[in-house]
Amino acid sequence: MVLCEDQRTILTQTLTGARPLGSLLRMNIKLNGDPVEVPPGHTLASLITELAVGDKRIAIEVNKEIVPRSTYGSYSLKPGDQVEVVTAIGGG
Amino acid sequence: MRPRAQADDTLVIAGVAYQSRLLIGTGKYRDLNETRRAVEASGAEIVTVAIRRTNIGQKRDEPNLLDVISPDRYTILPNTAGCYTAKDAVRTCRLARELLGGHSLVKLEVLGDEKTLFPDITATLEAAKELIADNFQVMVYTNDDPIVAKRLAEMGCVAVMPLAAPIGSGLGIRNPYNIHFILDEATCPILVDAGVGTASDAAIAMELGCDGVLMNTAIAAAQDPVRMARAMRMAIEAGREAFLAGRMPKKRYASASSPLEGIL
Repeated sequence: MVLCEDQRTILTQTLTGARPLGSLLRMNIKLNGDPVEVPPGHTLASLITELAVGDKRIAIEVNKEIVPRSTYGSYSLKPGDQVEVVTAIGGG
Repeated sequence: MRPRAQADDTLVIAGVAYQSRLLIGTGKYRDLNETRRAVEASGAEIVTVAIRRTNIGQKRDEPNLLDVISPDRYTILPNTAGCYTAKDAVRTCRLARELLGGHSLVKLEVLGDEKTLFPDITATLEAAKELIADNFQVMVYTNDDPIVAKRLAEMGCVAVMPLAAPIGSGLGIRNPYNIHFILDEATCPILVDAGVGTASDAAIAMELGCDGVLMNTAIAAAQDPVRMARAMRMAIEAGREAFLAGRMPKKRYASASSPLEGIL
């Protein structure tokens, strides 16, 4: 199995007892301000499918940088990423 | 189809001609159906929206505002309502542009105070500069200061939108003289944004010579919003027609309407 750097970090932390074994399969991100657990390497496309907002008109920012819609499928999330998903609502 | 005396009298913003001079917001309605009906009754072609975090817990089949107010049919004008810094306003505009597939017309408002919702002018100027440099077409909410209005137009804002009274107050045109000064120096469309309470307020704004009026609460908070939307449409048209017609001069004394000759 080839591990990405984040997974290796988590694995090292797990082996040294800093993290429970289960965390190897999950990582924490912040989604619209709330902590959320997702699998390592989770893409934005998967995230919005899970949120059921994939078919809605949205825009996404990760760590205050806009992610173009066309790259959701190839954009892999990293631990600690701050994701903002916004939409248009009623307003003056 | 509504009659139109001046078919060629269009409102041109950023090179696009609009038949309607009434721009309306989509906030504070009971539901999306009422929003849709009010927008339709108003005849508005430019409709403002706010940009907010998606409600993560919401139901899968819940309709989105843009499903009801389609960008194919309306010019969607995303606002920066709730932003108190230039940075937040610029960030919101960039998200809106991504959300609307590259659409660059925005309503900039940078607020300075929660009680009055008056604009923070220095932050507004800063945000306008940055947005214009980033190729946005900026319609800007400002106070009724003629000097600031002129500066914003000179910077390249595509419309300058002075308040008539505080947002959501319904107090009407509080300082028509300042609006007049702004209109006298106008080099881009001037729209009253905020403060209108009822149809006569909208008509007064148009009679002053404003190019349009942007409103939300006056319609949404009416007892019958759809009916008020229709009233506003007619008031805007009546006010515009009266402005173009050129009103009679005011006189202090009476002037008989019937001829004086031939009286028995």
